[in-house]
Amino acid sequence: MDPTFLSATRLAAALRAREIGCRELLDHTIARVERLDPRINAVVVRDFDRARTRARALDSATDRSAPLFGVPMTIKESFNVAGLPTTWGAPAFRDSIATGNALAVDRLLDAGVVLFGKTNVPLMLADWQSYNAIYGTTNNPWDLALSPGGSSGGSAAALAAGLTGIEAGSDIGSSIRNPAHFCGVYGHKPTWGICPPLGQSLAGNVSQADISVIGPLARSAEDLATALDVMAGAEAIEAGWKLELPPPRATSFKGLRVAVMTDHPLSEVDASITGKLTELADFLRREGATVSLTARPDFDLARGHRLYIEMLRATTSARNDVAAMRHWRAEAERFSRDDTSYYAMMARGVSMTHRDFLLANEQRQRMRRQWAKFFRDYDVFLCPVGASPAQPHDHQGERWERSITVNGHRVPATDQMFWAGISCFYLLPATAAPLGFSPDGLPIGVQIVGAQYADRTTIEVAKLLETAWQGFVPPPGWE
Amino acid sequence: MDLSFQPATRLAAQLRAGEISALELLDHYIARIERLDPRINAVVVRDFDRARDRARALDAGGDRTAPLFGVPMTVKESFDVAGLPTTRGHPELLAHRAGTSSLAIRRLEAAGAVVFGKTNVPVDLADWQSYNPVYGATSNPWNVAHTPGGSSGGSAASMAAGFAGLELGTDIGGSVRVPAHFCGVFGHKPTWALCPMTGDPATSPAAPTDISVLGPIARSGADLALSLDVLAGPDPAETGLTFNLPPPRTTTLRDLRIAVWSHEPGQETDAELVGKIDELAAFLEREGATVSRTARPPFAARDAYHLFLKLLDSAWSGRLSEQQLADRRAAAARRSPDDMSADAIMLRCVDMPHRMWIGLNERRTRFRRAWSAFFQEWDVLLCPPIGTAALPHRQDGATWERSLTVNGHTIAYNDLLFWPGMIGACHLPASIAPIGFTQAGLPLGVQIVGPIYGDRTTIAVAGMLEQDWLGFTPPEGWE
Repeated sequence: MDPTFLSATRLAAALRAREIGCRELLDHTIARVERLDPRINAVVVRDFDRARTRARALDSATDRSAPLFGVPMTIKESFNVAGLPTTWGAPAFRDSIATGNALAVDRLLDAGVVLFGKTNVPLMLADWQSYNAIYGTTNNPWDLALSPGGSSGGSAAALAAGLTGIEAGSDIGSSIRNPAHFCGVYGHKPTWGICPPLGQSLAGNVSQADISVIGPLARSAEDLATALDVMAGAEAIEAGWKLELPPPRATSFKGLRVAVMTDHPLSEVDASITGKLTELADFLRREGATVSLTARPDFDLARGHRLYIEMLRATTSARNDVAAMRHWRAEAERFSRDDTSYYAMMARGVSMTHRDFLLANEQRQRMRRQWAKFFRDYDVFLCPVGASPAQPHDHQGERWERSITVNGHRVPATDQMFWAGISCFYLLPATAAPLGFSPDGLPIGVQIVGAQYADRTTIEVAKLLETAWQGFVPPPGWE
Repeated sequence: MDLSFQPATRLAAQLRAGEISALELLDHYIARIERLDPRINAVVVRDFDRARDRARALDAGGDRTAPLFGVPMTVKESFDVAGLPTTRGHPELLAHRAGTSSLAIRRLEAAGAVVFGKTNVPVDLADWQSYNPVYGATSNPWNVAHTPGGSSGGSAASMAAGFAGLELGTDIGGSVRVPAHFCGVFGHKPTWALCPMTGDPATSPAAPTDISVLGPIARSGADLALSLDVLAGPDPAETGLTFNLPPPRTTTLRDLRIAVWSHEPGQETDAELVGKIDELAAFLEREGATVSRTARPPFAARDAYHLFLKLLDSAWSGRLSEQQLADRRAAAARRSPDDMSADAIMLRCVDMPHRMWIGLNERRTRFRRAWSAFFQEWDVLLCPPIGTAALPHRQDGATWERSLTVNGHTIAYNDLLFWPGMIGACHLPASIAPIGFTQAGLPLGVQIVGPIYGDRTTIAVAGMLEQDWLGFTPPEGWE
């Protein structure tokens, strides 16, 4: 049995049945990291000795019932793991060693994983690439000249390259979904608030940021379901609420009510993706699903996009010092309030007053009600994760000055924030699943959006697609 | 005891047993209001005819197992009741009628309550008195020269005067707790976000307001417990969450671990109130409770207080009109930058960048966690609800221009926010129970604070005090 590209669920079963030892599987995985990671530079923090000790201990354990028993795991660098650095790629935090584990890390360890390293991110987790001055650049295992995406880029690259069994990342602007899409793996962005992010922070911050979530990445949809169960639920001191996620709304395509959106004027989508999504819609219809290509929530998605960029940039504005704030305020004043260019929206968002934030939040809340109404008629909403397959590395200038190639011409890289915000801004769950391949052989994914708390429905649809449409395929040359 | 002053739980039992009919009891309270309310002007919106129809229907075939079966209720004017005005003291809103009742009202009615009127508030619910140009001023049944408090002033006055069986108020800076204390009744400010505040969607905000909560005002601890169960639990839209409040930590005073914080240097608290809380502490010690007079959370009270002032002003800022904003900017400009009074701190928040709010929220979350650690050692904290007993009426100027005398010292009117604010900012639950009287015969209450989601513990302690120390006493002359 070659365990390299098996799902975590399958690995746990093999470990439980002693078809392979925990130490044996860990050593296999470590050997691959040592041999192959130099090509992509994904596993940037390594903790092999402690992992070997833990794997040995698990091998002699009698209780092997933990859901991820013995599964070798790496995790996004931004999660605290006691004794390892948490830097978010920022040189100022180069020597910052975590003294405790993030809550999610503790929960995953309790669920049996063998954590043996951390994976690369962009500076401050703020890019759809993964490079920084501390750890360097991570490449896409499908084509080293391309980025694996970001900000959980190391996570998705490590999974696709068969360098780890399961991963966890974070997402405020597609940071789980985008790299899953670029690398051909699965990622789940949970409903906001259900997975406590405590310890996935710089400088020991404990408050939960708006829009931002943590969630799993994996090589199968079932792994997402397993890891979500492990990561979700109130932390002890918030236990006045109990999370009771409803079961999937459907367990077959028959009768599944699907809305599909392949394109939007705010973000042109590459024909490789729109074509494949349209094919999928036809397939689902043939399988007995009710498919609408025109059903949309009853509000202006363009207005929602503007609010998303402004509130996102307001939420991440805490990273600015006083001088930077002065700069952004001055920048905001250069533009009319009606200017919806990305730069103007960003400048307005960074320098937003709290009062304006509350007014925007009120509008978002009303849009959320419209989504809730929409999901009474539809079970899932399918759309692109991003505007194109993986793009070449581009470290020039600022993010908002860069462009990407879509349908043969250059478009602003920030346009595709539209596809990021379409779910996360409204706090909705979204699963990224493999959709197929572009004519160039690059993986592309589909974004499966569901109602608030319908996480099990979006993951279930990914699982159905995995069996009937497209599952994980290892990139060539990574045996 | 006269029917008029019985707790809602007793009234419901008598109604259930058929000892009195819902219509008889309703007519009893209506007759009292018609005869006695002119003295205090608490029940300012009356809906007697519809209520009589409902009472008749309950008598004829209502569900007698409903926890509030047939209990006549008045509610704070700010709640939407279909067919009645919601003005919050604004004359221009008087002509409008709510189309849909607030979720809390619908829950109370589903639990069998008969809502037959609404009680007075200050303009925008922003005072510790209850007067406005729509309905005039409400007086305290203990002494009509004094205010019943605010903003749920009509609610507490209605309870003390025996005008209804149960009341519902709201609290962002003491608005349930202060009037309960001023009128000698029980009140509960739940953990933030436990009881959804959803109002008529046509006129109410969709997004929740930080710190702001709704909660019951009643004549017994048991009534608080019962109504909390009716009011708490997620909005039906939040289908992935269920309500999971832990039971009270103890059921006897002997087993309680109590921290007592009766006064704070630098914050004037009326000596009679401090003395009464100290007396109570000595009693609890004699009863075998573990009592500390020095246990405090590990941060400066003043820091927590100032944080509250800023968060309070931020929370409100989304509701301010352009004119109100301009007034506040002008008032802020008149204050010296060194002015650290409550009002100066609040006024300076007028154009706060969202970035600054994120920093405040981070601090609050840290304080909140520190409180959680504190409440691992202590079951409840006892402290004053506010710095004085009921104040004489006054309607001069804006609240931020007023001062008053406590213990012979002049303090700013809004510096009374210290005791209620420090607790509310961290989202903690707090119950108010009556504990005695001033020499002038005004009631005094104690604030019983617990950990996040420890609502059932603070209410249980209110119930124990009712049993062993002092319960509700009707004011003289209100037979």
